Amino acid sequence: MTDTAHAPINLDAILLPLLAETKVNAIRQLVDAIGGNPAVRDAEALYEAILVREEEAPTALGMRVAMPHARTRAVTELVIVGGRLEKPMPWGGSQENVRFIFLLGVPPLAIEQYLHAMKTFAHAFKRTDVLKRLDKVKTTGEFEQTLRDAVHSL
Amino acid sequence: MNELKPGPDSMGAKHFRLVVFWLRILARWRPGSRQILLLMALAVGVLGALAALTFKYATLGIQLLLTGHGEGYVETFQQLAWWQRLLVPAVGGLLAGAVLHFGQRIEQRKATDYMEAVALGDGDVPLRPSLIRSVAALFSIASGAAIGKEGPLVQLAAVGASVLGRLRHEPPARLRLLVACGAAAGIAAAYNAPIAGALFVAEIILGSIAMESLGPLLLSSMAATLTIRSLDSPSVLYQLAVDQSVPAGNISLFLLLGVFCGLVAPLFIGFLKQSKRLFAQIAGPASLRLAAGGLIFGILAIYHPEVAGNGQSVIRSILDHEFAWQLVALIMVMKVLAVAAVFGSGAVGGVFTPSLLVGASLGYLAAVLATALGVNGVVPEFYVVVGMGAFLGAAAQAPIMALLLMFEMTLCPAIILPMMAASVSAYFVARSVSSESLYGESLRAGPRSVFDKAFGTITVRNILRPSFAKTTASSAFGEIAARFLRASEGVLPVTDGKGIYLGAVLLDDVRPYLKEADLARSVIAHDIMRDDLPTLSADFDLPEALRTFGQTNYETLPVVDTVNGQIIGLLARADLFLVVSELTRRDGVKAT
Repeated sequence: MTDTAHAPINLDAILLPLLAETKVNAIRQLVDAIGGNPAVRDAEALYEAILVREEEAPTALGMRVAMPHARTRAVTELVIVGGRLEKPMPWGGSQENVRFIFLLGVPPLAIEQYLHAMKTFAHAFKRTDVLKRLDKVKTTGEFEQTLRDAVHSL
Repeated sequence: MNELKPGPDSMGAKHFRLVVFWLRILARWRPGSRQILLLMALAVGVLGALAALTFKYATLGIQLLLTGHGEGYVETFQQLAWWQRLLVPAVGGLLAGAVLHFGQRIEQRKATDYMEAVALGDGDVPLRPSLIRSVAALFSIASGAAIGKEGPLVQLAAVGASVLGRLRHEPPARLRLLVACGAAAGIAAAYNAPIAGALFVAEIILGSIAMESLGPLLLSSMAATLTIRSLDSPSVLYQLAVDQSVPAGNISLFLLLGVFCGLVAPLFIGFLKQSKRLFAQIAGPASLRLAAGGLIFGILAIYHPEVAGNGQSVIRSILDHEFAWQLVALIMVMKVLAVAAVFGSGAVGGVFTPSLLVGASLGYLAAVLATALGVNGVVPEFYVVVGMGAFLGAAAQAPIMALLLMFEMTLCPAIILPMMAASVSAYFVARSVSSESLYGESLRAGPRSVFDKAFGTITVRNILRPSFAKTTASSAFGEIAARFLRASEGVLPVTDGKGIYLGAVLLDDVRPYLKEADLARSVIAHDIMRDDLPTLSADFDLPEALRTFGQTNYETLPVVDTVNGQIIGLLARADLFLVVSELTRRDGVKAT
């Protein structure tokens, strides 16, 4: 495997809590949270691309997690923003409501980075203790640290 | 690592385990199109050897039925009464002719010779006409006719390769190479000579010893030889009972022997062609001509049964000094007449081995002459072997193949230097006398194929791989992984619901993640496809296709119909190069 495959996953922003009632609104807030990130060339285009992708197939992973994402030229590097919904909501075909949302903006050529991030998150969230701890954390620092510990222990 | 586990809606556990097993293999190592071609070359080699064995034992069975004997043809004919020597080949010819005649009613298509299919065609060797001709050859050969079995045997191996390639919808360039592999396997199996098998095809038919084509040929020959060696027990064809080397001073004599063979070989070829023309004048069905040929051969066999068969046992006898030089000369003349009668009558078979006997006789006579002139250190066995190689090299216009064949047939390193001198001189003398080779006819007249078109008129549409795996943008990752298992290329085109090309998923991008169950549903083709992959228009000519490949490192590109945007195939860089090199070769052949 390449270095990309072992690269740590860093969140560019965390919304804690994420106050949204609908999927579209949640995505809007998450995109806005990284709108000022230098890697985001066009926040509006990123938002549109993510909605288009959601239309194609919903991105709920199960385990109360959704990972809306899009490969788009609107970003120059992989950007990730996480959020914990104050009030869980339905997300596409998921059988259970979603509480955690991790939004990814992926440059067109960063396919391996994207797959690595998706795999890492999926593995981390399969551990129920991680989600339980994320349920309880109070600050964005704790949220990020919990996630970092979970990824590190994979 | 977390891997796929059977879900509630998954397949049966056994099938599931199989899929996981292949995904693991695929994730670590998945053969590209080039590796698949090499694997197919191996399979073709095994198939070719099995075809050779089947043909060998079928011939033996019919020989037993026709003659009541199962020994070599010369020994068998020596035990037959004079009238049987006359009748058996005539009946064999009649039966062969009947098979061809009635076969033509069943199958209208003309059998495509494997040489035509490779040298001129696009590798399409129809199955039924080839089988009919092989059955006809069985009767001719089993009745002792002075003709080689390597022709039909190689044809069988080649048709097996062609069928395999067509089943896999291989594009023309690849199909052609596979048929060439089949032919190489047939030669290797017939003579227990893997290198010569590959070189025969490379030198005579493909006209190229580029590794791109020679590699598969060598693998195929190797597989055929290994198969034959494990199922049959072939020994060194001509064991030389000498352990000395050739004195350096004698090399010039071998050069002269080569010159002599180079002068005689075109005469031999011309005589065979003349015989064909004479037989063509006989009106009536093919069976009549074949029976007439068999009858002439039978008359010769009444006096000299040594003319029977392909000549292998006579060569052994010459090497063992069983014949006086006068008898060797007589047998050679009789053999040439017999071969001309059988071959000229239209019998299906080869003249490869019979021409070796002519060369062996010339070599032996040269050794006798050298001894008579007082030359020291003359080893007749060397002259016999070198004569064989030089004559074959000149007749087939393939000196390298002849050199290696002689080495593999004798496994005697001492013959290499004299063989080099003789085969090169024989080749150049023969070329200066006539450009006609044993296989000239097959290499000139053949089926029309894509390669007959002018370079500038061939488009990508003519040479693409039309059968390929593809997926849609919303296909889940699990499905993509499964499709890569079945795909022969590392590119999986992505289309919309109407077949319009959107992009392609590359195996190299996703390989480490193929077995990730957690991605099976959350990732779709749209997430991982590349839309920047260059595409080829189906209407691109070859220079345009070469330019497109020149601007990218991708080994395979999608081919798109520019009118409707639909994907219609894939084209591999290696296949494009094979086509271009073949067109260049044929242009060169036409120019000469």
